[in-house]
Amino acid sequence: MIKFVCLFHCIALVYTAFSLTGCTNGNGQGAKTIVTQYALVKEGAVELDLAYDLAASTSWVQTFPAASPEYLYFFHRGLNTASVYDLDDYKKIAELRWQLEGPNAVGPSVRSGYIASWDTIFLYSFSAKRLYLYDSSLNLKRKYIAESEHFDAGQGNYLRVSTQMPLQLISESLIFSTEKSYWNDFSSAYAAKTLNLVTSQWGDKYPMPQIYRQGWYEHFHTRSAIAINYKTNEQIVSYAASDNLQVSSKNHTKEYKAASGKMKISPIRTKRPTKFSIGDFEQYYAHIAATGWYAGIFYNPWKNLYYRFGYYPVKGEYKDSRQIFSYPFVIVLNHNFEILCEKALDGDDYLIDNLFVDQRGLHIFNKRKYEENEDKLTYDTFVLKEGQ
Amino acid sequence: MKADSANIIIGFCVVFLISLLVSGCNRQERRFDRFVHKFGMVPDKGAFAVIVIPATGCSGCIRAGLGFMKKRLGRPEYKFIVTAIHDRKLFRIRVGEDVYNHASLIKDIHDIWEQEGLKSIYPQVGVYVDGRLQTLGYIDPYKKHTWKVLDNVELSAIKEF
Repeated sequence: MIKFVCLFHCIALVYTAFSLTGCTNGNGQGAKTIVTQYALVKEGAVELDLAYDLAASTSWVQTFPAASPEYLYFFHRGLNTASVYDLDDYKKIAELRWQLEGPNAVGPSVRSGYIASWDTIFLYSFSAKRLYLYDSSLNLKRKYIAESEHFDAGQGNYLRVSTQMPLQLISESLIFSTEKSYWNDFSSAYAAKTLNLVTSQWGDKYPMPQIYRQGWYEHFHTRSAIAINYKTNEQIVSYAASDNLQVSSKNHTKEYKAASGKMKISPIRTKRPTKFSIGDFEQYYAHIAATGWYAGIFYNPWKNLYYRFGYYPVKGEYKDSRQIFSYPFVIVLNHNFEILCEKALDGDDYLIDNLFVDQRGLHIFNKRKYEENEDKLTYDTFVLKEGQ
Repeated sequence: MKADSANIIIGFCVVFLISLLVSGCNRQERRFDRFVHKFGMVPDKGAFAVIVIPATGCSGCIRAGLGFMKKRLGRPEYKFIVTAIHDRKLFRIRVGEDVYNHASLIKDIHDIWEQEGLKSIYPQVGVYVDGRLQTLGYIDPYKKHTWKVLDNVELSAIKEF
């Protein structure tokens, strides 16, 4: 009888231990994986009209206004033109064409920016290191000069603005995602640069997490991406090499484990190489391809979900840098940052640099369908299903 | 005796290293030559330049290359190949229908340039003289002057970029 009770206690103890390790995580606070089965399922598609003189290449797809989106804004890369669609019926309602010459012109190198409202549109030129503010008539209202980003200037993060690394606006400051430079120490590096739009002062935000002090990461592995939850006023930072999401609010900063079950990212070196060399970049790409990386984070205010994107490691031999974009995936998390499911996306079909979220779900651009019909932007719609 | 052996070993090493370097250069040239021949565009006589422009990559370098191409397409001393066309429609809009459909413009739609290991974000130029590849190089931002050189210097006289 005593033996039976002991055995029962042992089983109970083991069961309790297993339960605890399943629900919490050593790296992230309160991280859980939900037991209920969820799946992200393709359910229909959205087709947007594309003018005969506009193309699908883009680095900037955004919904606005940010807190309660009503419109989809699509910037046509290389053509200095944006198409705006209504999120209710996906009809095109406006086309914004920036001048190539004259006092209101921007250079041909503008690829991305941020639209806060019809009357507040920022365009960012990486090569000119300028941020331009326009009104709805595309009159240039103001120019901001970016901090120096030259390779040889030392210090400072490189500003990165794209669909996966969107600009964010918090009160009167724009928040830029960045890529850390060779010259910055990880211990003193920040994930974001802030630009106060009133004073034009630059600042730093979000100290890089502990994981970056455990070795030397390079290039895409040092990127960050930011999402804002306007319901809770939380700022969510996804780091390219970190399993965890960093969640900041007025009162606290927490980390939540939101890792893919299919990759483990490691640093390329134990410490900084003795000198900077562009010639080293190929081996950085090879390392990133071999380990995978996290690309960005999006919040869906209608569904109260987060989507964390990334690229799985490349199978087989490394051939060129484009391979690091070969195997996209998405992890879906609920509002408590609990992982609901993970889905691999076909890299031959989908471009995760061209997507948006709305009340219907997650819409990812299908490049194969664009090749079939160049006058449509076709997005496959993915929705979360329970009990799959 | 020992010194002689050491000298021989060092000599071998030097020759080996030089041959490695030379074969590395040759390999690039062989690939380019093979790539160009796949499009059947190498006459036996005269001098001409094969200009390969990726549609995706260093935007300033590509803009300069496309600008050069638009004004010279159809001239016998220049052969143009456009590669890495990830968005055909965008490329067509950027260069215009006339250029896009020009009989002299070769479009590397199967990305053979990449398959040959020549892929870069910069345009690549090879100068042929009497059927032989004489000079080969990528036109990065530090070699912008190459576009002027191609215009102003006798092609057969170009020995490096």
